[in-house]
Amino acid sequence: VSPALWAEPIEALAPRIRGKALSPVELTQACLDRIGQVDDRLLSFICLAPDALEQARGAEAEIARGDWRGPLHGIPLGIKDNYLTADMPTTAGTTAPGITFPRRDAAAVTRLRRAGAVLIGKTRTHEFAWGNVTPPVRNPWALDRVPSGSSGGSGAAVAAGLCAAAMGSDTGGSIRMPAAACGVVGLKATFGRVSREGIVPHSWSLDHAGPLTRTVGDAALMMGVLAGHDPADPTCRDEPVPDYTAALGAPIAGLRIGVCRNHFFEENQEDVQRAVEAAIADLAGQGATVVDFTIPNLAYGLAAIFAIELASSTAYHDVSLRAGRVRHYTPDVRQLVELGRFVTGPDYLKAEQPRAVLMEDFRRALDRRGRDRRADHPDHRVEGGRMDGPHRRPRRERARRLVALHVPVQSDRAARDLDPVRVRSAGSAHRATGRGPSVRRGDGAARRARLRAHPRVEGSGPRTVSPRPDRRERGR
Amino acid sequence: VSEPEPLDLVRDVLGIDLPPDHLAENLAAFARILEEIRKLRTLDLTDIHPSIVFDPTAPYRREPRA
Repeated sequence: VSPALWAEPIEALAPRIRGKALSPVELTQACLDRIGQVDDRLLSFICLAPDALEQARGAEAEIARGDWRGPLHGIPLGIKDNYLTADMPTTAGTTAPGITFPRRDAAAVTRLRRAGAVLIGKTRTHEFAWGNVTPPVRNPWALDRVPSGSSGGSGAAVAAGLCAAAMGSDTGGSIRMPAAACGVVGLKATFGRVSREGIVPHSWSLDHAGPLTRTVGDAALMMGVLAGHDPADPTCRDEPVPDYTAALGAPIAGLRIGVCRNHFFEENQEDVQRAVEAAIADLAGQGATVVDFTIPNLAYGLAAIFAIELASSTAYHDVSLRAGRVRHYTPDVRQLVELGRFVTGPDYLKAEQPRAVLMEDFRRALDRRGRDRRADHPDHRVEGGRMDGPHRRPRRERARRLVALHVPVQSDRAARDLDPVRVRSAGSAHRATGRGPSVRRGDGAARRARLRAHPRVEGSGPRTVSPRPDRRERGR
Repeated sequence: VSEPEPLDLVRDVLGIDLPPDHLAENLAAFARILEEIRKLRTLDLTDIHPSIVFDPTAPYRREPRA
């Protein structure tokens, strides 16, 4: 039996759209219907594009006359609500009065539109991307659980088949954690690979943009559009963009795969731990060489991210802090924004120092030439409170910037907690087996109308002041 | 001249204007974060350049956005 349209990955949809065997209008309508059927319980979208079907019809017309733009043409996507969009309001998850954002497209959104994607709506984020719960979004695998965050709306929407893929942003796990909690692929792309221009900042040197998708192949297709230099983002790298799909399906025999044993493994639940170890064993079984290593200096990672994230966020929110607007933030976000004041200048800079050390540690660990050396080689030790090693010498080589990809692995926990919202999703390791109360039908149109009419969280009022005009509006 | 209260000093030095109760609550919440940051303070990182870059030529390379 063919999976429903909304459950298929972009990899399967794109060739059919290109070959005119599938209409973007039909696909978009399937997603809108799906949203209407289940999103009153998931609450993953904060607003829907009023012209979604119009976008789809435009794509259909272009493809009909032979102007196929690429694999995202006619594909319905969700956009995290901290990306600026011209046709939909941006809230960054806040209902605080007096805070508005420009109505224009972020650089990544512009790229997706140029690729012909149908931007179907905005997905909910934890307020200002400062949290890992994303209220009020529910996890489609179990409605009494959170989808994690801050890109929780994107994770839930992709997992439930409400859109083919969605954009997220990641400062301290905000793509990876919802991908993990929702059982989808999440890619925190290499820093500088995807422009953050037009994404509401959280921590300038930690913020990343990236997609949440059903398959790794879909993430590769998204990156083919998203990656590339943007001079409007000063951290965006001017480097050639590879064909991310080139290695898809290639055998992994002969690859060396490092497993950092003093990160991620400390506090896993038993079933998660078993699933991850099984996945590692599977990689080895397919001929990869698995190399365990440790990075002792990771002991300072949490301190560094605390200092950098808190200080940066507080600097960004400083105007709102002084104006008293933060009292309207949710209590957890308000406190985090206020706490950043306690991070001193020296603490911040000392947090940026081990960051340089950690990048070098990982570069050495991942360096093939270092295959015979453990990453916790004495060069990398911290001894007597002194970080020592090759980092002390000036380096001409640019530090390696790490990419992070979350992929789902089978977990017996998933099957037990399935909710009827969850559906078969090609490419996901999770398999739906549960049956429950039937999905309410017939409320789709009402739900969509409600979202269009009231795109904000219920209870929020209109916003009229724009305290933070974007760079372009300031004429820079 | 009376000595300033400690919380008043925090308010002045850090530029935080919060009611004392709220400020005390935040200080308590910061305690766990401070525990981690203290680890950084023990490190001798004298010769390590922080991973921030000052790039004075960047504005001149930037192209105007359409």
